[in-house]
Amino acid sequence: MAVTIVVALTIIAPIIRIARGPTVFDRLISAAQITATSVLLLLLIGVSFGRIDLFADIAVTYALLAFLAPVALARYFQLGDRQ
Amino acid sequence: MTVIAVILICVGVAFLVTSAIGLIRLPDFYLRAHAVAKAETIGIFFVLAGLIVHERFGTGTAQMLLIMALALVTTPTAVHALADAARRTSLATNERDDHGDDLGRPAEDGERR
Repeated sequence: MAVTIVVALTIIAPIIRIARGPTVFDRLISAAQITATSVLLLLLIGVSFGRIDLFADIAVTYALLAFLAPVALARYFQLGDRQ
Repeated sequence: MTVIAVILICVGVAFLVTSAIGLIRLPDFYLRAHAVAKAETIGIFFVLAGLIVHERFGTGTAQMLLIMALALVTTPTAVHALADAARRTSLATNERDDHGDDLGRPAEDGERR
Protein backbone atom coordinates (compact mmCIF):
# COMPACT_ATOMS: atom_id res chain seq x y z
CA MET A 1 0.00 0.00 0.00
CA ALA A 2 1.00 3.60 -0.45
CA VAL A 3 0.97 4.12 3.32
CA THR A 4 3.85 1.67 3.68
CA ILE A 5 5.94 3.64 1.20
CA VAL A 6 5.21 6.93 2.96
CA VAL A 7 6.10 5.51 6.38
CA ALA A 8 9.28 4.00 4.92
CA LEU A 9 10.21 7.40 3.53
CA THR A 10 9.90 8.97 6.98
CA ILE A 11 12.89 6.91 8.07
CA ILE A 12 15.11 9.19 6.02
CA ALA A 13 14.76 12.05 8.53
CA PRO A 14 16.19 10.18 11.55
CA ILE A 15 19.03 8.90 9.37
CA ILE A 16 19.89 12.50 8.46
CA ARG A 17 19.79 13.38 12.14
CA ILE A 18 22.09 10.47 13.00
CA ALA A 19 24.60 11.74 10.46
CA ARG A 20 24.28 15.38 11.41
CA GLY A 21 23.31 15.59 15.09
CA PRO A 22 25.85 17.46 17.14
CA THR A 23 25.53 15.41 20.31
CA VAL A 24 25.27 11.71 20.90
CA PHE A 25 21.80 12.19 22.38
CA ASP A 26 20.47 13.33 19.02
CA ARG A 27 21.69 10.09 17.52
CA LEU A 28 20.15 8.02 20.30
CA ILE A 29 16.78 9.70 19.90
CA SER A 30 16.90 9.09 16.17
CA ALA A 31 17.69 5.43 16.82
CA ALA A 32 14.67 5.19 19.13
CA GLN A 33 12.52 6.75 16.43
CA ILE A 34 13.82 4.35 13.78
CA THR A 35 13.03 1.32 15.96
CA ALA A 36 9.54 2.60 16.73
CA THR A 37 8.86 3.28 13.05
CA SER A 38 10.13 -0.12 11.98
CA VAL A 39 7.71 -1.85 14.35
CA LEU A 40 5.00 0.01 12.48
CA LEU A 41 6.51 -0.92 9.12
CA LEU A 42 6.50 -4.61 10.08
CA LEU A 43 2.77 -4.45 10.77
CA LEU A 44 2.03 -2.54 7.58
CA ILE A 45 3.97 -5.06 5.48
CA GLY A 46 2.07 -7.83 7.24
CA VAL A 47 -1.21 -6.26 6.28
CA SER A 48 -0.01 -5.77 2.71
CA PHE A 49 0.94 -9.41 2.36
CA GLY A 50 -2.23 -10.58 4.06
CA ARG A 51 -0.40 -12.66 6.66
CA ILE A 52 -0.97 -10.40 9.60
CA ASP A 53 -0.82 -13.13 12.25
CA LEU A 54 2.83 -13.95 11.51
CA PHE A 55 4.01 -10.37 11.32
CA ALA A 56 2.10 -9.30 14.42
CA ASP A 57 4.06 -11.76 16.56
CA ILE A 58 7.36 -10.59 15.10
CA ALA A 59 6.34 -6.97 15.72
CA VAL A 60 5.51 -7.67 19.37
CA THR A 61 8.91 -9.28 19.90
CA TYR A 62 10.75 -6.44 18.26
CA ALA A 63 8.77 -3.80 20.14
CA LEU A 64 9.78 -5.45 23.40
CA LEU A 65 13.44 -5.48 22.44
CA ALA A 66 13.49 -1.98 20.94
CA PHE A 67 12.90 -0.42 24.31
CA LEU A 68 16.09 -1.71 25.87
CA ALA A 69 18.88 0.05 23.96
CA PRO A 70 18.00 3.72 24.52
CA VAL A 71 17.20 3.18 28.18
CA ALA A 72 20.43 1.25 28.76
CA LEU A 73 22.49 3.95 27.09
CA ALA A 74 20.65 6.70 28.96
CA ARG A 75 21.41 4.89 32.19
CA TYR A 76 25.08 4.77 31.26
CA PHE A 77 25.15 8.48 30.56
CA GLN A 78 23.33 9.24 33.79
CA LEU A 79 25.74 7.31 35.94
CA GLY A 80 28.92 8.22 34.06
CA ASP A 81 31.52 5.50 34.28
CA ARG A 82 30.53 4.44 37.73
CA GLN A 83 28.22 1.74 36.32
CA MET B 1 -15.55 0.52 8.42
CA THR B 2 -12.79 0.83 5.86
CA VAL B 3 -13.42 4.57 5.61
CA ILE B 4 -12.82 4.92 9.35
CA ALA B 5 -9.65 2.85 9.01
CA VAL B 6 -8.37 5.00 6.16
CA ILE B 7 -9.08 8.20 8.09
CA LEU B 8 -7.29 6.89 11.20
CA ILE B 9 -4.28 5.73 9.21
CA CYS B 10 -4.04 9.03 7.34
CA VAL B 11 -4.12 11.00 10.60
CA GLY B 12 -1.41 8.74 12.01
CA VAL B 13 0.79 9.13 8.96
CA ALA B 14 0.34 12.92 9.17
CA PHE B 15 1.66 12.81 12.74
CA LEU B 16 4.58 10.60 11.73
CA VAL B 17 5.55 12.87 8.84
CA THR B 18 5.30 15.88 11.17
CA SER B 19 7.61 14.17 13.64
CA ALA B 20 10.12 13.40 10.89
CA ILE B 21 10.09 16.96 9.59
CA GLY B 22 10.45 18.29 13.12
CA LEU B 23 13.43 16.04 13.75
CA ILE B 24 15.29 17.66 10.88
CA ARG B 25 14.20 21.25 11.23
CA LEU B 26 14.14 21.97 14.98
CA PRO B 27 17.22 23.81 16.22
CA ASP B 28 17.70 22.27 19.65
CA PHE B 29 18.04 18.80 21.12
CA TYR B 30 15.24 19.22 23.68
CA LEU B 31 12.83 20.38 20.98
CA ARG B 32 13.67 17.33 18.90
CA ALA B 33 12.96 15.20 21.97
CA HIS B 34 9.49 16.78 22.04
CA ALA B 35 9.00 15.88 18.38
CA VAL B 36 9.98 12.26 18.88
CA ALA B 37 8.28 11.56 22.18
CA LYS B 38 4.92 13.15 21.45
CA ALA B 39 4.26 13.20 17.71
CA GLU B 40 5.83 9.82 16.96
CA THR B 41 3.93 8.09 19.76
CA ILE B 42 0.59 9.59 18.75
CA GLY B 43 1.30 8.70 15.12
CA ILE B 44 1.98 5.08 16.08
CA PHE B 45 -1.20 5.05 18.15
CA PHE B 46 -3.39 6.26 15.32
CA VAL B 47 -1.88 4.03 12.65
CA LEU B 48 -2.28 1.00 14.91
CA ALA B 49 -5.89 1.95 15.66
CA GLY B 50 -6.52 2.26 11.92
CA LEU B 51 -4.94 -1.15 11.31
CA ILE B 52 -7.08 -2.79 14.00
CA VAL B 53 -10.22 -1.33 12.45
CA HIS B 54 -9.01 -2.30 8.97
CA GLU B 55 -8.59 -5.91 10.05
CA ARG B 56 -12.12 -5.83 11.45
CA PHE B 57 -10.93 -6.80 14.93
CA GLY B 58 -9.75 -10.11 13.51
CA THR B 59 -6.64 -12.17 13.91
CA GLY B 60 -3.84 -9.87 14.93
CA THR B 61 -5.88 -7.59 17.18
CA ALA B 62 -4.53 -8.81 20.52
CA GLN B 63 -0.94 -8.42 19.38
CA MET B 64 -1.66 -5.00 17.94
CA LEU B 65 -3.26 -3.84 21.19
CA LEU B 66 -0.20 -5.12 23.03
CA ILE B 67 2.11 -3.24 20.69
CA MET B 68 0.02 -0.13 21.12
CA ALA B 69 0.24 -0.31 24.91
CA LEU B 70 3.98 -1.03 24.77
CA ALA B 71 4.74 1.77 22.36
CA LEU B 72 2.64 4.28 24.30
CA VAL B 73 4.55 3.48 27.47
CA THR B 74 8.08 2.77 26.31
CA THR B 75 8.76 5.36 23.63
CA PRO B 76 8.18 8.46 25.79
CA THR B 77 9.99 6.77 28.69
CA ALA B 78 13.08 6.11 26.59
CA VAL B 79 13.12 9.66 25.22
CA HIS B 80 12.63 11.08 28.69
CA ALA B 81 15.53 9.00 30.03
CA LEU B 82 17.74 10.35 27.24
CA ALA B 83 16.69 13.94 27.87
CA ASP B 84 17.35 13.52 31.58
CA ALA B 85 20.79 12.10 30.85
CA ALA B 86 21.46 15.05 28.52
CA ARG B 87 20.46 17.48 31.25
CA ARG B 88 22.79 15.81 33.70
CA THR B 89 25.69 16.26 31.32
CA SER B 90 24.79 19.98 31.12
CA LEU B 91 23.56 20.13 27.57
CA ALA B 92 22.36 23.69 27.08
CA THR B 93 19.16 24.87 25.47
CA ASN B 94 19.28 27.45 22.71
CA GLU B 95 15.76 28.80 22.61
CA ARG B 96 15.43 32.14 20.90
CA ASP B 97 14.73 34.22 23.98
CA ASP B 98 17.27 32.52 26.20
CA HIS B 99 19.86 35.15 26.89
CA GLY B 100 22.55 32.73 27.82
CA ASP B 101 25.74 33.45 29.65
CA ASP B 102 27.29 36.65 31.01
CA LEU B 103 27.87 38.12 27.57
CA GLY B 104 24.24 37.52 26.65
CA ARG B 105 25.15 34.95 24.04
CA PRO B 106 22.70 32.05 23.68
CA ALA B 107 24.06 28.55 23.54
CA GLU B 108 24.71 26.77 20.29
CA ASP B 109 23.25 23.45 19.33
CA GLY B 110 25.18 20.84 21.27
CA GLU B 111 27.07 23.14 23.58
CA ARG B 112 27.56 22.25 27.23
CA ARG B 113 27.24 24.77 30.02
